[in-house]
Amino acid sequence: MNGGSEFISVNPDVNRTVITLGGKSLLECYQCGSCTAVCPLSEALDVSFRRAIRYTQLGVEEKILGDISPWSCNLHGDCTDSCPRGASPSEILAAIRRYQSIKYDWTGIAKWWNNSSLMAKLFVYSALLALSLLIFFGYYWQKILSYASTGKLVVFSELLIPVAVAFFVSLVFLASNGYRAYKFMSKDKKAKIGFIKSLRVIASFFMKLETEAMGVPHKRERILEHALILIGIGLFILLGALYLIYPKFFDYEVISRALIYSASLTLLIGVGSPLIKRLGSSEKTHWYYKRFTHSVDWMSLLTLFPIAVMALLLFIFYDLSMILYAYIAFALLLSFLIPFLLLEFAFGKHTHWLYKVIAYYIGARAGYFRGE
Amino acid sequence: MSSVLIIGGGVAGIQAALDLAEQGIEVYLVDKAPSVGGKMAYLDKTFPTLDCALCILAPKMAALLRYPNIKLIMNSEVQDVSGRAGNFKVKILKKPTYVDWSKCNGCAVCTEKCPVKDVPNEYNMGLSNRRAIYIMFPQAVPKRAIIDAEHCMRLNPPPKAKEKAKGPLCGVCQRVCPTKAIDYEQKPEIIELNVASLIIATGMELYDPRNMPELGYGKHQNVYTNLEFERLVSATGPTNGEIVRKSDGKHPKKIAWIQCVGSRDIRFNHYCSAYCCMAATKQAILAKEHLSDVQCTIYYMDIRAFGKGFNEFLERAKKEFGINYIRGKVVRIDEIPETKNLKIIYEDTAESYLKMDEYDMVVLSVAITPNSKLPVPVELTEDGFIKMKDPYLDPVSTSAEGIFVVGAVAGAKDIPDSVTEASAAAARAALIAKRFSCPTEVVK
Repeated sequence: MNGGSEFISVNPDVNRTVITLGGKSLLECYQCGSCTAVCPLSEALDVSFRRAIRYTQLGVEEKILGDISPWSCNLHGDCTDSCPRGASPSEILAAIRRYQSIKYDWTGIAKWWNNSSLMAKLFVYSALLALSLLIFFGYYWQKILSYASTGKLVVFSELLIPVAVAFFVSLVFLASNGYRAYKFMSKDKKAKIGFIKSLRVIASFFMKLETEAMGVPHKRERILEHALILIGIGLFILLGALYLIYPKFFDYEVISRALIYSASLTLLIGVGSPLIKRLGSSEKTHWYYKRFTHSVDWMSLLTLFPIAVMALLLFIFYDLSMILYAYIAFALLLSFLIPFLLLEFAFGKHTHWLYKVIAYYIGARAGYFRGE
Repeated sequence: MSSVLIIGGGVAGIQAALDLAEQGIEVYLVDKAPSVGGKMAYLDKTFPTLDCALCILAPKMAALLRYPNIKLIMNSEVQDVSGRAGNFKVKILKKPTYVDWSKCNGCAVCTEKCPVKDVPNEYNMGLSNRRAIYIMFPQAVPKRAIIDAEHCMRLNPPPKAKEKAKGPLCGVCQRVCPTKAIDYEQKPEIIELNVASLIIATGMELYDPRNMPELGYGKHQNVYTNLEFERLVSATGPTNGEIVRKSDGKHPKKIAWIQCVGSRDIRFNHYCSAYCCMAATKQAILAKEHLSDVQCTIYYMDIRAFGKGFNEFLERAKKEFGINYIRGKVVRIDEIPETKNLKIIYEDTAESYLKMDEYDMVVLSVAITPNSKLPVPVELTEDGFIKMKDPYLDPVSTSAEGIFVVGAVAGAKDIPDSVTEASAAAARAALIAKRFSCPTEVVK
């Protein structure tokens, strides 16, 4: 940036692409830096959101892909409230994130996922869903009936095989894309502090930031919803891991039941709350809750929602001793999981956890976090 | 020969009046203040030449009195305008001054004897006090005293004192006046005029920076608007030209100017106020001239030095006076409670990260807003300025024939542009005044 002799190639199509990815107000920006200055992140983190927007306006692809600031953004929207141009920097940063994740992905699926319409996404999602329904209600149906006749909910690993395959495939994509993201982001950034210290820096940064944000009502709402989704998914992964490693855990009825119900309820509330808000959105709502936010944002919630519902139904039926219905709910849960893993988890908005972790780690290592 | 009414006695209104009077046309100059001069009379120096503002304005103000065909109607407001080009009927409300101006000779004895001493002085932006009877500023034209009825003991006595006293209170000014000009019984007057043409020269007001609470104006003592700072450096100002902080009376060591306060911001005014870049540069130079060891920094988004000699002025400020320019919009000003110093928060866009700097004094370069709420049948633009008929080929005409507009009420501009427009509008108004001829009369 500061070197006068540096040559940088510019791709003039970038700004158009980012605008179609949801950064409608990109060209409004006149570089005053208000967004960076009002952002609660800036005090702790040496990044410039304005510069990320500037790179995007100019189309400096190399710099955009290596920029960690869009990933450090938490979309709280202080910048949008104080933008003198009436632009929405957080919305632009979300669009830049979509652009980055398209470029980090080598398969081209992320590109399609981010550029296609909601209808097209739903169509492909439904096609995959139909396929998995065929597997569970065709191929495995006799097995499910025989399990159900035992009157017990014993999940045999055989049912989990398709999901495990889908999970493994998505992990392969995530790992390879994550590696590419790491390469892009760590370019030109020298490591200044070690691994353990980086983690400590990130942890203290998060604690400070979240405590601060919890003091603001509209931010608290977002943080809680996000935390509910995160905890819900985390608990499901924990349950899955327990089942594989220590299946006896499920003999402790009370604890396991409590864990299962809280997992599905947290996920359901975490996903349901923003969905409801989006449907009832008005002019004044934060852009994140608006009905016409980018379709990728919608899909991230829509694909999670049936999973949360089915998980809840599964155990409600089981507790009502409606074993066959419980098995059907279980099969539906697994059917919804497959397209979720293959599309949303591997290429959609959910990839942000991976890129965020990478960006924070690289930022911490390169000494972007102040105060430590 | 018929007459022309000019609304607003700022530098543009004065110029138009002089140009018209020179042609023998009868001119009425209305101003809501007790003196002509407008906003320019508040300034210490002008850019880009650093001329003393009043030294170049005062001769023009005084010249108004030399023409018998210029009638000054001060302390008055236009209430109604009807009719059309060649024959406008204008109703003017002349508010009472409680001083018979035909007798007052501006000796100012009353302003020294008046017992009410704590009225904020508008001319010094409230940074100093005046009496209840006052002359607006030493170079005022016409130099006549006026009683501020709201603060006068006689006209608006405090309720407690009113109960105790038997007769009327105070009356000091009446006793001391050598020409017996004080008239407590004066009533508002309606003046009706027939004029051929009108020139609107009502100029601008400063945008209230209290609309941006994050900048702390009005809350933090050492945050000033640029017009307040202008009074502070002026020899006729509250401190006789000494730059001191409101909080502790000490000279500041570091002063920051913050540009685009309320300008170029869709939340407040989307337009560029045009004068502030050069005004801040001028004020920084003045600060340097007053206090040689002061550090001056200007925080800007874009520097617009478009006029003749402006860019050279800017270069001079940087090289000769060592003024710093930092590109970044200041989003917040915090006061440090112990020292009353100010911490400003912004992104330095050259280095691309958040910075916080500490200053002893901060000056806000506030936006201007047009004084366009007038009972005159002309169209306005969306941002409240008076609409020009054709901004390229007919910039001084309005949507109504025979009504012309000059100066900052038509769009943010500086002194030279306002004066240029004033002469142009005077020529256009003269054409109309000469084409029509109608008798004028003053009806009480």
